[in-house]
Order: sequence, then C-alpha cells, then structure tokens
Amino acid sequence: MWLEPRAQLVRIDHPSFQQNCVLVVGAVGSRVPGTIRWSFPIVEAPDHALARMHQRSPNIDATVALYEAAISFLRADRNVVETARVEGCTVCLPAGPGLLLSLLIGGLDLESKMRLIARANTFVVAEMAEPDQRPVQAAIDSSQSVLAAVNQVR
Amino acid sequence: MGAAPRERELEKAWRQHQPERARVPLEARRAVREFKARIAPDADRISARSREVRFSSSMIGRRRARLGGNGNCSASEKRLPLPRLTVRAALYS
Repeated sequence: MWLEPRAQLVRIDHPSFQQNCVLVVGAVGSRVPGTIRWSFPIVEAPDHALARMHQRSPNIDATVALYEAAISFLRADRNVVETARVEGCTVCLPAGPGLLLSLLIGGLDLESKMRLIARANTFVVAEMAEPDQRPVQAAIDSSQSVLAAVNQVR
Repeated sequence: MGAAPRERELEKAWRQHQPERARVPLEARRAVREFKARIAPDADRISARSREVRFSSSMIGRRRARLGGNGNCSASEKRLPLPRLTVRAALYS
C-alpha cells in the first residue's frame, strides 16, 4: 500500500467531491519480486477530512492512521459493507486515536473496472464518537472480506 | 425514540453547515499541506515505476504476440529488468 496526493477522484458535480485528497492505494504483487500485478484504490481522504484529523488530533501520524483505516476496510465483512453502501450508511474506520466516518462508493472507473472505495467525510476522536459509531465489523472468515471481494472483481 | 444514525448525521451536518464553524484552522490546513508534501515524492516514484511495469509488460505481450502461440520469447526477454517497488505496509501483517 502507498499514499498518493490526488486531485478530484470521484466525478460528481458537487463541491465536496471536487476537493483534492490523499488516496490509499493497494497493490497485489507478482511473482517477480518487487513488481505489481495490479493496483486498486482503497480509502479516499479529502482535504477537509485530513484537516479535521490534524485539528482534532494535532500529534497524529496521518500515514499510520490512513494505513490503519485502509486495512480495517479491506478486512471488513463484505456483507456489512455492501449493506451500508446500498443504504447510504456511514462506516467508521479506525484511524489512530479516532475514526474516519466514511461513505462507501462503488462504480466503474475510467477503465471500466469495478471499484469500491471508502471516502472519508470527517474524522472524530474516540471521545467524540456517538455510542453507535463503532469500528466496522471485520470478516470472521477472510473469504468474506472486502479484500476477497476486490480480488474477485479485478 | 431518537432519529436513525444516518438521519442524525445529516441533521448534524446541516446544523454545522455554517461557514465559520465548518472552517478548519489555518494550522490544520498547513499540517495537511506538509503531510501531502512529505508523501508526494514516494507517490511519484511508485507511480513512475508502475508505468514502467506496465510498459515492460506490454513490451513482453507484444513480443509474445508477434512470435505467436503462448510466448516463445527468449530466456533473456523473459528476464527483462522490471523495476522494484517499495511496499509501505503489509496486509494481514
């Protein structure tokens, strides 16, 4: 995984979606050491959410926090995530001392590949979280995880 | 009974949609700029190398297509130097 500063990622004509962002990108390695077979977006953290992260947790290591959020998302139960996506519910991804409250976006990219990303709306520290804002449920069986689903549609 | 979580969040977002309150402090925005400047060189390196991988792969693909069948390319072509990437985090580690 790595982090990429990007311009607008999702093409929706809404000011929120026109923000710059940092994207956590995942990749699957090939048999040739050090090379990749394919890569995919995992978590989009728009500038506003990143700013809230730094405002509410000034000493945060944003790199570690974003990787933690991305790994939680990939480990999440795909059925829980799909239900949340269809119902437009927020999922809470653990990120350092708090949670990234994220919207799930699924759709085709410019190469007509199906993508599923978690797009952070904001960041709250643990003390700010409401009782029902709990970290997204991890899959008990890794074959039921978001990562497994991403693997199937690559 | 309270509103559903989604409705409550929408309601809260509308209440908070006041330019003054929604504004993030200058220091936070500066921290974001610095964070992005820190990660940019690595992202550029990976992006450039990933383009090289695609290019190398397509070269092999074209060569194999030209030779026909399932790729009777020479051993040296199979060993085309592919760039190395630094993986920053491991899944399920």
